[in-house]
Order: sequence, then structure tokens, then C-alpha cells
Amino acid sequence: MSDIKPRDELEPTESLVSGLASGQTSRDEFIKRAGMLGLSATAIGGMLAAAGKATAGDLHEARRLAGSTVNLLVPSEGAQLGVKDKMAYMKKTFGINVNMTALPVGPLNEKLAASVKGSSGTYDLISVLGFTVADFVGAGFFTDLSPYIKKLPAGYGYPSDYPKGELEYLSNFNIKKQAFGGTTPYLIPGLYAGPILLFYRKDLLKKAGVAVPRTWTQYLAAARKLNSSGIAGNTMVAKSGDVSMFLVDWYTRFAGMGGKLMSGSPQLKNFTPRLTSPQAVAALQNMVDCVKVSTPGVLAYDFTISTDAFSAGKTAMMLGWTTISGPVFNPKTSKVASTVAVATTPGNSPALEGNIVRGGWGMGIPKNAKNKDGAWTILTYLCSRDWGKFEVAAHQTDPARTSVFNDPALNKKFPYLRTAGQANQRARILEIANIPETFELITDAAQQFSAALSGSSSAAAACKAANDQWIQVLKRGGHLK
Amino acid sequence: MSSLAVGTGGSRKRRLAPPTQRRSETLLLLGPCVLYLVAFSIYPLIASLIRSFENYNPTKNTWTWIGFQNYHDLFTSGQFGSVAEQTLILTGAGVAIQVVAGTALALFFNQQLRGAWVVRGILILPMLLTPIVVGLMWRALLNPDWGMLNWIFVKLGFGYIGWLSDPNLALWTLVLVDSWQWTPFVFVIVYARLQALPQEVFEAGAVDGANWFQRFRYLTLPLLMPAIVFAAVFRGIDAFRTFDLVYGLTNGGPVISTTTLSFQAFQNGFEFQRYGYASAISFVMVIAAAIGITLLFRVVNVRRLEVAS
Repeated sequence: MSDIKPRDELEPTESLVSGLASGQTSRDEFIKRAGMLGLSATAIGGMLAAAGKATAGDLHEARRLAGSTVNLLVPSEGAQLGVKDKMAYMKKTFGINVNMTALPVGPLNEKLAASVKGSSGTYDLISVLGFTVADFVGAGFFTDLSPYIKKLPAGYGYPSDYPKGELEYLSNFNIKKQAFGGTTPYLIPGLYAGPILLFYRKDLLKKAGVAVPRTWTQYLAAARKLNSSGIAGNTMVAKSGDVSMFLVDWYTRFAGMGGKLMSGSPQLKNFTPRLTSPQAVAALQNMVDCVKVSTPGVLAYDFTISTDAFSAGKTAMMLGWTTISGPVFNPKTSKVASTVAVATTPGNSPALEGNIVRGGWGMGIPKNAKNKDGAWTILTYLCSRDWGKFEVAAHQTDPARTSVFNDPALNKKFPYLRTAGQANQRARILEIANIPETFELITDAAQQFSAALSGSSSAAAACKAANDQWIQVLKRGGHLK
Repeated sequence: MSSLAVGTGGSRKRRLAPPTQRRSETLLLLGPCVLYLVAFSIYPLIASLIRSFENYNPTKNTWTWIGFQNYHDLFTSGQFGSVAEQTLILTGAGVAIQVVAGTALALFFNQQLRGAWVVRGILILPMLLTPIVVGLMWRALLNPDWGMLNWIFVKLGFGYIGWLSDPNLALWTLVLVDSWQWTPFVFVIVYARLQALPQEVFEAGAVDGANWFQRFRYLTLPLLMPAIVFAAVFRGIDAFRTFDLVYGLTNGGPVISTTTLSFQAFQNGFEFQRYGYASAISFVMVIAAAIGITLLFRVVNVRRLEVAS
């Protein structure tokens, strides 16, 4: 993986600029190819100006943004490393200074809320987590991107390069109906997506004569068989209140067992939780049983510690966001890079396999941004195919685009990528993601579930407690009478 | 405010400035301070009090007056009791440990020991760290896989201990970490007071035949009491609003076993956008702290009278 040559294989924009500067590429050819890559008119103008091949029109477009600043707010889950790598490149290419703030999800949401609600925002370009789209986009804080998107060249691949469900979740929103989808785009999917996969040690499974589990019963049996004094059968996100405990470990089991999270709808005010359903309790019970064949400290695991434990060779299986767990394939950060394989998540029937929650982020421009045109230029770059390829190669975060998931060169280096892409196609929107209380509900459930995982309550009692809390929150929010 | 003026005929006369001038001088001198207080203390306090009677709708970005609903929700939430109890345990147990340990350390270092100044310097280092850093540092020490504490305990044959993942233990882990950080604060205060105590009193006590314990019980402790009370009150207020340590170390879990009132206010305000509810929690805290401090000072005054008598 370290021998990837970004310039040769993954950086068409940079090689295009080099060609223009060296005279190998004509101005017209450059514009044509840059358009195919999806670069905005401003970006193309900037590049031509830098290469001394700009017309008066190009220069006008480029000068308009030259020296301006774009304040960028992104999550610190790995992709920020790629943005940092490309700071100088963005400055050189577009003439725009990019100031990046990278924060974990919680603090990012705090900054986001504070920035978009002011008369003049701190940030010009912001990554919005899918689970908070209803909160922030639904409240009308983001700019309608339609006029910008109309100017995008066809080669940019919006919307054709994204799974339908991803666009519905991380791009379009119907503010009037407070529902995902609709026809108005407020975000572009990126910096990265978040499918969930089953990661396993193929050497350990082979040695123990265990097939890759396809049902949750098989998963538990495999974890028990693989569990030894040196290596735990499996690991999970089991830290109390951690949203990934609910989304990755519980919900994947729940959905794989055919569970349905809610009945009714917020609009009809009969939005009712089903956390006491047999599938909900069985999913939690499966986790409780899996904890017994996990590492001793699993109850304190967030997704970073869980991934670290897997990378250190301490566990045989885990579920994970591939964008977080991708580095387990990197020999520099993982002891088990050569022995890891992935599969779609188990399900109690073939139709239920790979039933996962949709994750990922969208990038948008707040209405109160000071430099909207500059933000759009940077957005088109950070959501481009070109950047997606670079980010996968350099930092193994998952792209948002289908073409990058299926890129032959990248798949040669990262065989998990195609499976991750397939999972990303199938992922489904969390049923409670369309109300502003999403995070509160997830946190409440993850807190209550931890009581069962620690053995201080039964799975059924924990599910009941979570269900009661959800009813209270949904009533307060006016989604349930 | 007075001013000096040179009178006619060369004689120096001291006279007061006219009342109008004195008023303007008073305004000039106190004005910035009052403005600062109004802008940064009084206005936010009143604004957040008003917010505690309102509900914020994030999808509409609007505020609605709901009267005492937030307070009603808080007291009937089912969590308030345990969160308040945890806050009191963290405050009470933490401050008690810190006062006892800090005073003991101060008494120990008050002896003229060789090289004590080096140890004293090292001892106060924890309180120089910000609590969030302390939280993250201890999270590393208590890391379930490679944390030093569990490594030692496993090597000693005690097995793995779920410092942060056991609901019955996590709060006491917080108390331990808080005490590790703030015992030095009590130590510094009490030690400074010890250094300033008049030696004649102790010499007189010794001459009168008082033994070590009697000198400690009837002389040292009463004389140290103002410093101990100051340190305890200061630490009590600080511990009561502990947020950063919880945020850095446990995030309020497992379940809600380490959630304090401050953390609950933060979580509701900044993670769930329930600003009105978070304001209500904060005001309950302000009222509880005001009552607690008032009662404490009444007790302290009684003690002082007892000592004086």
C-alpha cells in the first residue's frame, strides 16, 4: 500500500496541472479534462492563471477568490489527515487559504450549532453527520446548492456516482415535510461514507475450522470457538452511551434479525419505539453473550479502542465502520494486516445479511457563510473522485462515491473496498434519523443497553428501560401523542 | 473622593470636591467594573434564567415559553435523584479525602525533612494540569488493554478491574482521580498556614505538659481550621460543578453512574440542543450551591466562636 504512486494513479488533477505548466497539455484540452474531473470554473480559472495560460475571463474568475479564506469544519475521524495533506495544494491550486477545524462528533456538533445560528458564521464549509441532517439542514441553516450544482460539469458525477440512498440521506432534504429526500440538495456526500462490515481473522477461522458466520447464531458460536486465553473471540463497541454501540453492534444485529425499530410516523404523531420487540431483546442478548467471549476491558471500548485491539491481534472478529477500521489493513498500523478479511454482516436469512444502518457525512455551506463561492470551490474538490481516491490510498477512509469503491487500482491494494461499496449501496437510513432528537435517543439507548452488557440488568429490562425513555423523549418532541 | 487645591494667598487648603464631581468620579472608576459585571455575569444569568422557562425547537430555530415545564421534567425524569446523589458523593467524598490527605501531607512536610522541598514541588504538579488533560491521562492509565494500572493489578494476581466500565466502581474511580489532582491544593493552603502559626503557643503547650496528640487536637487543628475550611469550601464548590473530568474520563457512564449535574446540563444543552432544560439544571445547581455555602458558613462561624471561647 505504501508503494502507491499518487501522481501516477490517483492524482489526475495534479498531473493535469503539471501537464499544463509544462506545456504538454493545451489550454482547451486542460479545460476539457478539468471539466471532466468536475472542477469548478473558479478552480479551472485559478489553475490557468497559475500556469500563465489564463484569458481575461479566467483571470477574473480566479482573482475573485485568490487570497480569500475558507473556514472548514470537519470530523476528526481520519479524513482530516487527508485535508491537512492537501492544504498547500489547495492554496496553490485555487489560491484559497483553508483553515480547518477537526473535532470529534460531539464537539463538532456543538461548534456547528453555534456557528450556523449566528448572524455571521464562523465556518464557510461544514461536514454534517447524517444523523444530524434533520437537526441542522431541517432547520434551514444550509444553502440550497441547486444553483451551484447546475454549473457542475457532467463529468463530476453528481448525482450519478452516488448510491440513491446516500443522496436521499446526505444530500437532499425536504424542509417543508421535514423528511429525507425531496428535490433540493443542501449537501454533497463526503468527505467519507460509513458502511459497516464484519472484520475477521481468516487465519484464526481457518485454524479453528470455523466458516465465516452468516447468521448471528453462527457469529456467537464462532466467537465462542475462537475464544482462547490469548485471543478473544470477538470485540465490540460496548462503552456506555457510545452511539456506535447502538448503531454498529446493536442495530446491525437487530436489523439482521429482521427487527423494525419504529412504527407509525412523526408526522402522524404516532411514532412508537419497538425496543421491546423480540428482535430488539435478542440482539442485545446476543451482545451480552458476545461480551463473555471478548477482551476483559470490552465494556470500556469505543470504536478506536476496539479497532486498536483488533489491529493488535487481540481479537478474532468485530463489526466496524470500514472508514474507521480501514487502517487494520495497513501494515504500518496493524499487526494483522495480512490476515484480515471482511464480509457483509450476518443476518438470520440471506435477505437480511448486510442489513446495516447508513452512516457517512455530507458537506454543505451554511447560509451565514462569509465566503460561499470559495467554500463551493473547496467543496467540489473535497467531494471529487480525485480526492476520494487520494484519501482511500493515503488514509483508508471510505469514499462516498461508487466509482471510487469500485476503482480497480484501489481494489488491488485494498480488497475490502468493493465489499464496503456493496454494503454502502444496501445501507438503510436509521428510522429515527428524521427527527431532531436522534442523538438523544441513541445515547439513551446506548446508556441503558450498557446496564445489560455489564450484567447489572437483563437484556429485556434494559430494552424496556430504553423503550420507556424513548417514549418520554418522543412525546416531549411532539412525535408521539 | 477628595482633592487638594491651592488657595488664594499661598495657603494650602484641603477641601472636598463638589458632590456632582464626586459622583462622576465614582461612575468613572466603578463604571467599567459594573459594565463588566452586567455584561458578563448579570445579563447571562438573567438570560439563562429566562431560557430555563423556554423550550428551543431546533427544526424551527424558535423559543417557546413553557413556564416551569423544564423544572417539572427535571424533577420527574427519574434520573435527577441518582444524578444529584452522584454529584453529592463526588463532592462530599472527594473533598473529605482531599482535606484529610492534604492536611496530613502538610503536617508531614512541616517537619524539617532533608530534601522535602523537592518532593513538595513534585507533589503540587497534578493541580497544575487542566482537568480535561487529567481525564485523558487517567483514561490512558486505566485503558483496559494497555493501561498501566490494570497491567500492575493483573501482574499482582488481582485480575482485571473495570475501573471505568463497572457501574459500581466508576464513580469511585472519579473520586480517586479528583483526589489525586486536588489533594495538593489543600496541601498548599494548609501548609502555608502551618508555616505562619506562632511557635510560642506550641512551646507553651509543651511546657504545660501537653503530649503530641493534645497539641494537635487543641492547638494545631483549631489554628489550622480557617485554612482547612477555606480549602474545603473552595474545593466543594469546584467539585460540585465537576464537568471536565467526567467528560474526559467516563462521559457520564456506565449507564449514567458517573453523570453529574454539570455533565447532564452540558449533554442536554450542547449534544441534544435542549438549551432550556440545561438552563433549568444549571439554576437548580446555583440554588443548591447557594444554600450549601450559606449553611456551611453558618457552621463555620459557630466553630470560630467555639475556638475563640
